[in-house]
Amino acid sequence: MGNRQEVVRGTLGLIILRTLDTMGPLHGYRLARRIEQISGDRLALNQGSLYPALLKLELEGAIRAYWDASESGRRVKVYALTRRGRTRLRQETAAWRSTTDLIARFFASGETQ
Amino acid sequence: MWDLHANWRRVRGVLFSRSADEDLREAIGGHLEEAQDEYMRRGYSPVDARRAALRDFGGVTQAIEAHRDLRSLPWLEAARRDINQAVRVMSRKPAFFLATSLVLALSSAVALASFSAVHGILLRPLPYVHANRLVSIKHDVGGRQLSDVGISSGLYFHYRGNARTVEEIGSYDNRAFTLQTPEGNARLTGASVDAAFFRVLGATAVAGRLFTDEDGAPGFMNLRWTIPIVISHGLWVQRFGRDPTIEGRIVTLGDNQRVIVGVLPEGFAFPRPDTQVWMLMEMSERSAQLASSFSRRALARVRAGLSTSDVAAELNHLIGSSAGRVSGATPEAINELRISALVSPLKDEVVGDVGRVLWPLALSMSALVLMGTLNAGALFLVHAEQRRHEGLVRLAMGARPVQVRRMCLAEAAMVTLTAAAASVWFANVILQGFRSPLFELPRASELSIDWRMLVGALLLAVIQAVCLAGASARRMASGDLSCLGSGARGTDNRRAVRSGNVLLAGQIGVAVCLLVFAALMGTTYHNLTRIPLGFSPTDVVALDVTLSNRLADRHSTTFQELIDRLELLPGVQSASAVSSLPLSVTEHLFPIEPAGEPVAFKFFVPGYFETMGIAILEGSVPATRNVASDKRPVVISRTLARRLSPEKTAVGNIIPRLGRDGALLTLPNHKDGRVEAVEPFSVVAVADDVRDSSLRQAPSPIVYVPVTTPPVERSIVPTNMVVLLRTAGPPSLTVEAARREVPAVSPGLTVGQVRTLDELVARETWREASLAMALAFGATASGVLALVGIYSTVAAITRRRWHEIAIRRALGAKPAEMMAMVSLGSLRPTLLGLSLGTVGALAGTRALSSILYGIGPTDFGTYVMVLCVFLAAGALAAAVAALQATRCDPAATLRRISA
Repeated sequence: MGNRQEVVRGTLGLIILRTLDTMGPLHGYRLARRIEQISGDRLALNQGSLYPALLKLELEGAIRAYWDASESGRRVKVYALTRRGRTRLRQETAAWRSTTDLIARFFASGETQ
Repeated sequence: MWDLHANWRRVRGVLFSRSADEDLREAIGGHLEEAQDEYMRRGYSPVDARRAALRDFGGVTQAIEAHRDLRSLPWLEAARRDINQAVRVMSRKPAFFLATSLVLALSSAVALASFSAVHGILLRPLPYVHANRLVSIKHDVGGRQLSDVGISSGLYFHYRGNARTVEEIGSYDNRAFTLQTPEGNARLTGASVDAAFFRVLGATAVAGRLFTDEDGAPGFMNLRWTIPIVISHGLWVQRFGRDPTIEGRIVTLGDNQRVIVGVLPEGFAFPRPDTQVWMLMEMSERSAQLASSFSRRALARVRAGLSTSDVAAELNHLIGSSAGRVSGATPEAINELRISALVSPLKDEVVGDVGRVLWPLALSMSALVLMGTLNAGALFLVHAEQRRHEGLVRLAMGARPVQVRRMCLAEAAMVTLTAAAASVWFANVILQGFRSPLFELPRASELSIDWRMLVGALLLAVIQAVCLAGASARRMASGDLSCLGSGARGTDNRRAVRSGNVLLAGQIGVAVCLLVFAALMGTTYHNLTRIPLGFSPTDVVALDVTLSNRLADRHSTTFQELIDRLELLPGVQSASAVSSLPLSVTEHLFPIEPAGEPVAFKFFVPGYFETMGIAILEGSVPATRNVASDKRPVVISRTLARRLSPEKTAVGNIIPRLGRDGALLTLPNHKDGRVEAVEPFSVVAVADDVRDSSLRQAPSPIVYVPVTTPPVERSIVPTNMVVLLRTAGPPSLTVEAARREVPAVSPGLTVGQVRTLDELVARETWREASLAMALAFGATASGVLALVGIYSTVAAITRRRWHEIAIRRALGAKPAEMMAMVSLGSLRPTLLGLSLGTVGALAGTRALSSILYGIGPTDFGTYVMVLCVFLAAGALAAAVAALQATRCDPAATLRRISA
């Protein structure tokens, strides 16, 4: 637990979109747990910070929210990716890959010297 | 697009922030319970599971705050808070809210209605194609002392053929028709127009068609030809049930068959607002004369880019060059007749002189808006004074001045916007009153509150809100908390007194202005009602009765018989009939001297002078229907008698019979067909003068021609007569009996409009009466408010100087001295207000001067009276307020100060 990593600033939105794309619609707790599990419990996610991020994505039209019942039959708010969100995910994934490739090149060139 | 959506969701989030919060709390609650369940599945106790779930979640409050920040719009959030605060304040003070809203709403409504009338009647273009290029063409004929008359047939065809400054020229004349139907006859207002008339106005038909040049082309009047008519939308709906196949329907107008060819659109109202039938009538070019009758009117559409003066210049040039081109136009005749063309916008013709009333009314009513705003301002100042403590505490707690100003703006806007909404409703009610037929306003059917007026009301509300909030915020946020405990003092207090004094002076100024206007209009109305009419209108009712043209030969006997029968009705004291009433339009105008001014001919059934109460000054009126066959006796008015024989009696004078062109009238003899001069009239009596054209105009010369046997020539026999009944009591009971009697005498008789002579006289003064009443209402309202202002000023001074009064009383000052001391505080603003009001009234009465009668706009007596009345009322209000000063108990007050 001691080496858990903070979420890199500005990436939570992309993480949420990616998770919803993979897992389909999820309610808040399930989404938070899923993100933690995918990160192998390396990500120190403050679950409460998910909600402002979800609202931001909802306002931007990338996701939509609706009330539904959870597996335990409890009334929960469920978040699902929209078409706009899917497009955005594609664009941001490409941009992220290009950035990490670029950074990786720098590190690679440093190691060869 | 999506930003718009996001912003809308944010706006919704602000407006429904409570529900968004609840939503989020529920979502977080579900989240925590799910987490708690999972921890319990892992073996945690419920308490530990809850704790662990909360730890994982982080701060719930922080999450809610972050969520709230994200969905908010800061400015909207602040506005929502201000509005909520304003609603709370106003709901705690409903009396203040209602009083200020009502003051603003009533004052704005009157102004809004007046300006709607000015806009709808005077400023808005007529509802025709190229309305700004439509003109009316009239003439002055100096050689015949005719001014502002229509067009002769000669000039009409001359202009049509040669004028280049106009695209199209048409002619028309007002007429009345009787529509005969199996259910009964109906009187219709109508016009005779030529085919070009509708083209000039750019009218189109909603059913059928309008007149074409072929309709009236020369040579197609054959036996099968029926004169075409066009009907109004209203008549089509009421009489013909919107029949779509109306084209070609034959109807009987008068005694003739007419064919309906089309229907005009709704709202088409020319030449009169109530015209129902337009009949085709083309003037004959073959018999056109330069100086034939000028009774027909002309209208034209000016070519784009040219002005009325360009048209007038061309037409006057055409008149000058008409010699040899128009029948009867010789250089001598042109010189002698001195014809000049008058070209004016058609709107001026339609609207008439109603602008003389509407503009002063609207301007006076805007003074009422100022007054209303000033009064609401005074109320807001009191309100701000009461809330000053709150304002200063807010500032001391760190609120910025702009927040206090915003709060004041929200309160003021709530009042002014409510007032604006109410004023639109009130104004609509007032406009409905204007539309009533009583006012006979031109274009009344077009009156409405349109979007311009709504924008105006909104703008006014915004300006008022900014002014009221400004005054309120200045008062609320001025000074600091230390000045509250001991009451307002120092420079801050002096500023408040100064602004209060300026407000009071403004109120007094507006009140004085309106009082002067009201006094001048009231005197005008009084002067008009005191004018001797020359007849007695009380208990006389008038019925328009038309005789069918085919029975015109029996005119004299039919009307005599009708009058004889009506006189027998219960309640009828006397009955008679005349071709035109006083204070109405006279159709029969003929010259009685060559080159003399035309004189009104009125045809009457014996008994007219007794029924009307017109005194006979000399001679005697023929009392029977048969007179000696070689005499044609007439009665003349005193003005005419003085003109005909200034020195001696006019009885016995001979009045020659002249045509409209001034030539001796000749007619073929019935026996042998020889053309002979018509028998002249012989004056047998002189009647007292009556006001015939209008109350303001001097009595006009009149020739009263008895409807007797032998009759006057057929061409001038009036088939439209007005039957008069002088009744013993209210005339309404007699009217129904009379209506039943008319068709019993002859089926060719039709009853039209019915009105009392009192109504006829009252109609002459309604403009002055309504203006005087509106001004008196405004003056009373503003006068009372100004007096309340004086009272409150003195009362405030008394409260402020209470300690000083106690000390002075203790030192031996008399109560009267104390009263004088506090009363004098209101003297300066009162004198300033009186001067402002006098200057304002002197400047404003110029607009009224054209409508005043028997009094000048700067009448010294009126100004002195108004100022004296106001000074006296002001002194009384001040004295009543100053009475408090005499009730000051020095001992008790001084004990309180020392404590």
